[in-house]
Amino acid sequence: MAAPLPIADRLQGKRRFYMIGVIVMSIAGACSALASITLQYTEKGDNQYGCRSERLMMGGKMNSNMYCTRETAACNFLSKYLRGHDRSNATVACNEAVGWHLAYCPTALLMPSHPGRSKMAADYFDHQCTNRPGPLRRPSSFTTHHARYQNGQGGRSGTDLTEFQTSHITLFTHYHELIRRPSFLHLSTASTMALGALCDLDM
Amino acid sequence: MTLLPSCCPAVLLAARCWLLLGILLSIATHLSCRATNMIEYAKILRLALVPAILFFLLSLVSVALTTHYWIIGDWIVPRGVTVTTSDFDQRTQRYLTDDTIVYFTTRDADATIVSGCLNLTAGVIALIAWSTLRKPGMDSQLAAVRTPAHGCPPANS
Repeated sequence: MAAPLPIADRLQGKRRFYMIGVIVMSIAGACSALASITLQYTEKGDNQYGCRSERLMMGGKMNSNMYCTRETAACNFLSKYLRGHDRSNATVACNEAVGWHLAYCPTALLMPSHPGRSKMAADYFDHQCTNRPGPLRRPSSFTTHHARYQNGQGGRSGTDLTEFQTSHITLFTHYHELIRRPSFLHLSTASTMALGALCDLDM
Repeated sequence: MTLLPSCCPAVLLAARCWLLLGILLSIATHLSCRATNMIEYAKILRLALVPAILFFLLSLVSVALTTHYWIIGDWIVPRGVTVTTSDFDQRTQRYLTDDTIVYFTTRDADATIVSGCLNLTAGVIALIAWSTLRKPGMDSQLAAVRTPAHGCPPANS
């Protein structure tokens, strides 16, 4: 086993140093993104806006205090009750907080269409990529099916939801809930970067 | 797992582009390493620049936008709101209002910003690494000392 030349050894050490730096930083970033994703579920309140609310006496009047995450406050509450400029600012905040699924829309172009491709999946992505972000919506075909089902008009064959479709809706809702935050993008890019740096270190 | 066949396209579609890119890049690197038994170092470095820049820009944009909505929430948008409830007051003949103050639970947005900043740092390190390791003559220096113990195994082993 020949000993490497000093100069090359130095370069190898340098490369190793930088790659370990990238790996450590990326893994830390991925962990933090994971924490953020977890917190988005645990911090969610249980009232109609997704906030935790309490009522208390303040200056002789009954008031409400609402404890919301920034996303739910901007998307569900503030953009509904503010007016004018404030409302548009709240909408901007909402879009910045939960509009990140749009970052994945270009990848829809890479997907070849094949006969087995789920109509629902295509529908869902068309819908989510062409509409403005905001409070979670369901694709139109789901919604009409769902409305019929809930109004009890689903008796005709083919109009009510099968168990399969219901599980579809649940799955897509959760999936969309996940990918529309910036933290999911952070998680995926950081893990990719860490993997790439690991491969480079191994080389 | 009846869900699997139909959810697969969607999952594939949206999420794994970056990951695929990274994996393909590393596989390509290894293959070229094995095939030539000599790293085409400059080429690999040039290839490595693309994901590094992409990663850096994504993190930058993400941190900028996250900070922006942070600022909007804290300083620009008023948080005291008068909500009109659906309770009707017979005496005053109008709907009751409820003065509501919104408090933010900040931990999740903080974690998002922290992760964005860490990723940004990783991107900066990757770019620094790229510019430092990119030295003329690097190709021949590394190729000269390639030994089986050190890096790529020889093609005929």
